Amino acid sequence: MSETQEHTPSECDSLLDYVYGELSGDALEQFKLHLLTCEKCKRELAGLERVRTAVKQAMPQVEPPADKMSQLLHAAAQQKPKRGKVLMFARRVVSHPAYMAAAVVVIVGGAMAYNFRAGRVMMPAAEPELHEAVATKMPVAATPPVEKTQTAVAGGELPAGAPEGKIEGKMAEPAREIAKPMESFASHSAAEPKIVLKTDAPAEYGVTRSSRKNVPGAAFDGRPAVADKGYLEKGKDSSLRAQFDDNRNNDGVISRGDELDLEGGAGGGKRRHASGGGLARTEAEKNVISGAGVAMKPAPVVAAAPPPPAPEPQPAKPQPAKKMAKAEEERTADRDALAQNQGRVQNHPSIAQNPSARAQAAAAPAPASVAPPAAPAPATAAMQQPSQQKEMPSNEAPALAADNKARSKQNGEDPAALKKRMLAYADNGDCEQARKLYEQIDKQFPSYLTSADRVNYSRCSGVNRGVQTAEQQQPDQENSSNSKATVAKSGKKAKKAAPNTSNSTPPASSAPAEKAADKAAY
Amino acid sequence: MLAYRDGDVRAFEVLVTRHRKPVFNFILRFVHDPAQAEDVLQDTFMRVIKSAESYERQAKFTTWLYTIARNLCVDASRRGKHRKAASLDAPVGDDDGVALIEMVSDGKQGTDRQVIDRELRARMQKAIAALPDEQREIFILREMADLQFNEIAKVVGCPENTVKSRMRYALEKLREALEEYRDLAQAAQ
Repeated sequence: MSETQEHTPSECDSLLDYVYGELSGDALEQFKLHLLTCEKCKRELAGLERVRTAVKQAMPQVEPPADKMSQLLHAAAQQKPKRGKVLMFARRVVSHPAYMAAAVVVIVGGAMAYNFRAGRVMMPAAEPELHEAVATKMPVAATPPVEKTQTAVAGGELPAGAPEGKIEGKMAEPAREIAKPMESFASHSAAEPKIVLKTDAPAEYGVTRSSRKNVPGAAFDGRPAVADKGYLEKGKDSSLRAQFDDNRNNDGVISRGDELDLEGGAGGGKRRHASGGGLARTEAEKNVISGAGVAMKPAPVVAAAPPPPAPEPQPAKPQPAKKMAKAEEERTADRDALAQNQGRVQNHPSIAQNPSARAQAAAAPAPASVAPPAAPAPATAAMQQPSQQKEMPSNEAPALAADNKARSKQNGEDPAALKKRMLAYADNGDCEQARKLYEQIDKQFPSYLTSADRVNYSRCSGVNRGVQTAEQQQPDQENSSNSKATVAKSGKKAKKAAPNTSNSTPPASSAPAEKAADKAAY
Repeated sequence: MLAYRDGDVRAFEVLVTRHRKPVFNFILRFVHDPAQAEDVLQDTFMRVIKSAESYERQAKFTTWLYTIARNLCVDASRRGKHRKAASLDAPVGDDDGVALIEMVSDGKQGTDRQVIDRELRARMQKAIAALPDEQREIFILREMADLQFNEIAKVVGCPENTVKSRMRYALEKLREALEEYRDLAQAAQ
């Protein structure tokens, strides 16, 4: 009993491990010490050893039959695992999470690197640039050849053999926008200009992104820019964009510089290069839309090729009936406005009472409101403007005569009779009656009197003044011994009066005044 | 086993040669039928062949092998309860006949000694067969397969202390059976 009390149960429990040899090291030594002192463990150990000996005797190892052995080996050879080193590595990688994560990183990274090198994958920020680059390259390769275009004479045509094409898509709208100011201006010109925009370029080839940025003829909205004077004269590519913007701000109005260019085109000497839709940036592709009568068509890009000789001016094509009718209406309206303005000026009280001012008003040019607009005036208009102004009186003479006839019917007097009477009074020296008749004619028939009539009237009034001055100076001659000095004074006075009148009267009327002064001096 | 998994067929032959005999004795003591034990042994190694591709060295091969064998033995034992299986302890023929286990072991001893040993083995075999299944399998794995208690615990799927406890109970019963035989043997001598 004392032995069991001396040893703890945990030490006695190691007996089984000791019997089967599973104790080692300190545990084995400690149990051996315990076994020396513990009688119970000694007895159990002896009993277990006897049982094990009996079991070994009672249960000998039995040899399995050998025939099964060959079958197992044959089956193992038939069904041997077909795993190589690659599969083994893959299996090990898959079995471990860390290996799996590393493998995923390597595979995904490798795939991205491969695709990036192959150009299949782009960073999101660089994607638009790629598209832009692709868009820049592709249309240039697909751009149809652009021919150098000749600037035609106003209302002219393309030279023979030049290819013609339709304006479609984006090109059609800019053509209309250009045509609007041209049509409005064409109504003021005698010859009807024609705008011909011709291109062989399809609409989809018209504008690329890069060419839109750089070439004014190919705007972002498809509107061709109207080149201004600086571009036409210098042809600088660097200022194309700014010029385009300026033209946009001016609503596409063609500047005066284009007139000069058109004059050269009208003369058949100048040539300008134009392209349809701003297809490229070469010299031959620069868009020059120089106003009415410009033929615009794509030309092949042959920058080194010399320009062909200037063709002969082509006869104007017949204008559409609608357009011509519109121009005729506007022309008639302008004539009426001009006649009314002239009548209004000469009937003004301040001018009517002052003959010299009336003469100045008659000699003054037509009001600006009637004149054709200066800013959009193309070369044809610039050429025809002087002739138009010169022809204007001759064109308006029948209308004025009809107007005078109508007024004479209303007043019941004949201006010719009044004029004859006025001239008769003037010849007889009755300048007072002549002046009255002159004012009556000028008031009732403002445009009837000519400059020659005004000269006669001025001569009469000047003679009258000279006669009056001589009559006033006769007492001085009687009193004075030096009549020449008096004559000289009177002559100086007359000369002094002449500049004053010349300042307020037109040159046509100042010369008779000087003659009258000379007469008075004699 | 790793060599065989990598495709070396000769490695499997080494495995079979090394573990064939203890596994067969374990199966024989478990199912008590040599023919059935051979079939179970065949199935065990076939299972090893099929499972070689997915084998991972998470434990000793011996533990894995005896786990397969034990599961197959359990299945065979369940099937054997529904059929009349020959027992090692059952006498062949009539009651006077020689036990099956005596035919397996061929002792060359004296007549008396042979009789005593024969009786002893018979009793021990009866005592082992009389052990509960959980104690018997642990006793066989410990005595026949020479597995350590921790390995046995993995094979049977129970704690190591439970294994030791069951082993202690089994040894106690066998010791009692052996004490009775010793009294008989002493009386016979």
